[in-house]
Amino acid sequence: MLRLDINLVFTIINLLIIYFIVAKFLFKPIKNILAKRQEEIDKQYADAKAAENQAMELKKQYEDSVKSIADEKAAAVNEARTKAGEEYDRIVADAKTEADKLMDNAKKLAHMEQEKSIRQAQEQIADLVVEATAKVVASGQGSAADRELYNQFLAKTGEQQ
Amino acid sequence: MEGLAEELLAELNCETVFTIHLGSIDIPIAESTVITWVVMAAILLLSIFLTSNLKVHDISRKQLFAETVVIKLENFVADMIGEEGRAYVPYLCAVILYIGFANLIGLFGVKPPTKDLNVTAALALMSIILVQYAGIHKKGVKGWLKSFKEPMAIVTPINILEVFIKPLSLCMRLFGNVLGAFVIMELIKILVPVAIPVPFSFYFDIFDGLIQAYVFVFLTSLYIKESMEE
Repeated sequence: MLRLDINLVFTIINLLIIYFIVAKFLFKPIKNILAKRQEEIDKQYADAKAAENQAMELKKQYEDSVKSIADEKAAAVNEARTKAGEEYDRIVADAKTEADKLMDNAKKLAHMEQEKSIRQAQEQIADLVVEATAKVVASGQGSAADRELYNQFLAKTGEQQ
Repeated sequence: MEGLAEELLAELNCETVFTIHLGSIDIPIAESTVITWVVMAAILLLSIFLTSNLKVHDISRKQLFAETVVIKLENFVADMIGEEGRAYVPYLCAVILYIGFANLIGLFGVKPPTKDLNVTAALALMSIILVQYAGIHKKGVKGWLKSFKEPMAIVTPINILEVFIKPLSLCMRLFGNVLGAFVIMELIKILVPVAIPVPFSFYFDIFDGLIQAYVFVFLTSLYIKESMEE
């Protein structure tokens, strides 16, 4: 019952062997598999993070491009508007110049016409005066004849008007 | 009555199973050593069976069980010894497994090896070596020697005595408990061989056996923790 002998040493050796068995055959494989699983989980987390970053980058790129398109559009609209305004101004200015030219011409023409008709009238009046004078001088017959001549002259003038 | 006493004594005796003759030296191999071999084989086979075909995904129930046991056991011991004594966890797990198996083997009608003083003495010796090693490893030889004067110089003899008292108490506690349980179980089995031993066996073989395994490892880890304290 109470014996202490060489079996104590055997038990110590056995204990060390049990320690070796437990450490090598039970703990090590389980630890390995747990570490592997942890590694895989970490890797998956890293992958997810990378994918998220990539997605964020793409989103940023997309937003940038959308923004640049909007900018370009606004610039194009502005440019078109400026061009259109210039064109409008130019056309209006041209039209105005043309119209002014036409007006001037018309005015000049009218003036010339007027002068011409005045000159014609003057010539006709002069002719009439000459004619009347000639007639008066030719007849020379008192006041009745004068009245006759005067009436003729008036009638002629009225016809001419 | 005399027959009963003889029978009991026969059960209590640690027999020598066989003797190895090395020239003129006789090496007796005790029953406890042989049963320890059986326990070792059981632990080895169980370990190999549980850790065969391990997978990262789609684990089998066997692997789930193995992982749960290892993690629980490790956390259980690590909680007692603390973060600093992490390196000693596998040894303590091995000890708790060995004592647990050794005590439970009484269920199969075999004499538990822990009933032999050789086994408990070996366990206690290993424990105290580990405790002192942990102290030296943590504090260095000087610090370890100085720790004998803690908390004051006058208690140095008591501290030195403790080096021997601690393993002795570990050894005798385990031995006494298992022997006591064994004696009671044998008495009951001799008196009433049918039915009655079952509930007692639950208490003395399973409950007490596992409690003793726990207590042994708990105290060892407590001593290790204590020896590592500054």
